[in-house]
Amino acid sequence: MEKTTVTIEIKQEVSITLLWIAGGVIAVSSAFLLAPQSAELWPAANLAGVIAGVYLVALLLYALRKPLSAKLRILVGMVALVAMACTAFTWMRMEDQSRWQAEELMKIRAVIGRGIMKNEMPKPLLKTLEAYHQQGARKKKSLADVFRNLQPGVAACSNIHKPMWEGDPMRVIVETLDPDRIVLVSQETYVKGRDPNFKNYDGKTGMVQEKFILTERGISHVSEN
Amino acid sequence: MYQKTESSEFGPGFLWQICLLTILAIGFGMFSQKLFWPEKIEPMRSYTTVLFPWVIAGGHTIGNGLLAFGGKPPELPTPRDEASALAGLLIAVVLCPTIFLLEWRRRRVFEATKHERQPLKVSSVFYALTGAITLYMAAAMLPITIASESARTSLRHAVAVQFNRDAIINEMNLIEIDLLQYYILPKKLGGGNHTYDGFRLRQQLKRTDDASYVVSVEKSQVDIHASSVRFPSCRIDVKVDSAGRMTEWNYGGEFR
Repeated sequence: MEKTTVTIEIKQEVSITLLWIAGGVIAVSSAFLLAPQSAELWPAANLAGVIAGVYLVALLLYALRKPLSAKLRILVGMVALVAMACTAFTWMRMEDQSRWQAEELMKIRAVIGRGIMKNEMPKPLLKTLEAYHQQGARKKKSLADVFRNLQPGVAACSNIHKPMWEGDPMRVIVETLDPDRIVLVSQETYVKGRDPNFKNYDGKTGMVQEKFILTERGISHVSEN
Repeated sequence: MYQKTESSEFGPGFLWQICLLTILAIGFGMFSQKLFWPEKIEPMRSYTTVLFPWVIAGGHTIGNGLLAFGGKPPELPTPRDEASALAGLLIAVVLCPTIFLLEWRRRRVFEATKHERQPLKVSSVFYALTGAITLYMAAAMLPITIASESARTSLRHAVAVQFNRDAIINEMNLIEIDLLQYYILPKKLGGGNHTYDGFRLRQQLKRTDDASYVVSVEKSQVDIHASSVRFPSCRIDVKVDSAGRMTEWNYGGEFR
């Protein structure tokens, strides 16, 4: 009779364990799968993580109930809480850090883009300036004439950048080609600049854009966005 | 009440029930993803840190950042990533702690009433395994938190230094343009008429948010010296030769 009672109690324990596991698996999986769909894993992972945290607290309260000694319950509870707090902290910091790194990558891309523009755009303008002033005091050719000589076939709105590699997306557009003023503009097609509302040359908004202006007095640079 | 009996094993079918439950949850996760997003998504990378789902989520975010860097649209999480993250959560937070804690409790209560040594059983091995994972997770979190905070701080500092270096190089390129046009322009337009002599740095370029600059001209060679404002121990020195080329880049401090 006693053996039967013990067996039933152990079976009950097994059933309770299974119930806990089933409840946890269903709750955490449901939270994970029912989270709003996103291009990131964070919404699903965060929601499931919160549910998992609630589950763990409930499990600890259940597992650390009497007749365990108060000392043991406090000790295990404290260790578990510290571990959970550390996990939550590291989890949140990882989310913040990964987003920060993804944003930094785009900032680095913007710096690279600006660097290439600042390196490439002044070259034809400096050549033009040099050739223009080599004419001496009495100049027969305008800045635009000299520029056209150096860049055959160039016209306003044309691209003068020769691709440095296959698929090079850079464009250097002649925005203005006046006799005494040449304006070159270059922009990124997917890299955001400082002002999200800035209207770019090609009609896009908010992209990086740099401008160089040549007059007979020299070159000036405007970082437009 | 908590006496040991012949049937004190976890119970008939206990192990396979747990395994089946886990497989079902992961399988459902993978199947539901294929159902909702049937288009083919190429896996980006493989992960070994299954027990840390936040690492998988972070890896995916950084992967999308790399795609954006190349001008590509972000990708949805792959079923593999999702299954890994969910499996990690279930193993680390549900399965192992539940089995370990409830069995640990049963043993503690049982030991208080009975002092017999239990024979080694499959359940003991399973208990030890789940205990090892649970205790590993609990013990590892504090060092992991400290190490990741340290890595985060040093990474942010390194990126800030790199940004400052890049900004200074960009500004030095603008100084080079000023120098070259000064060299080209005739004296009546404020130029040097094919010499750098008399070149003066524009006020806006003497000190910017990133650095302060000094340009010294000697015969046909120009030295540009940049001292970082943000990181005072950092500097860049470069020479501009007679042909207008920047040569002999020298980096000091953390710019090295």
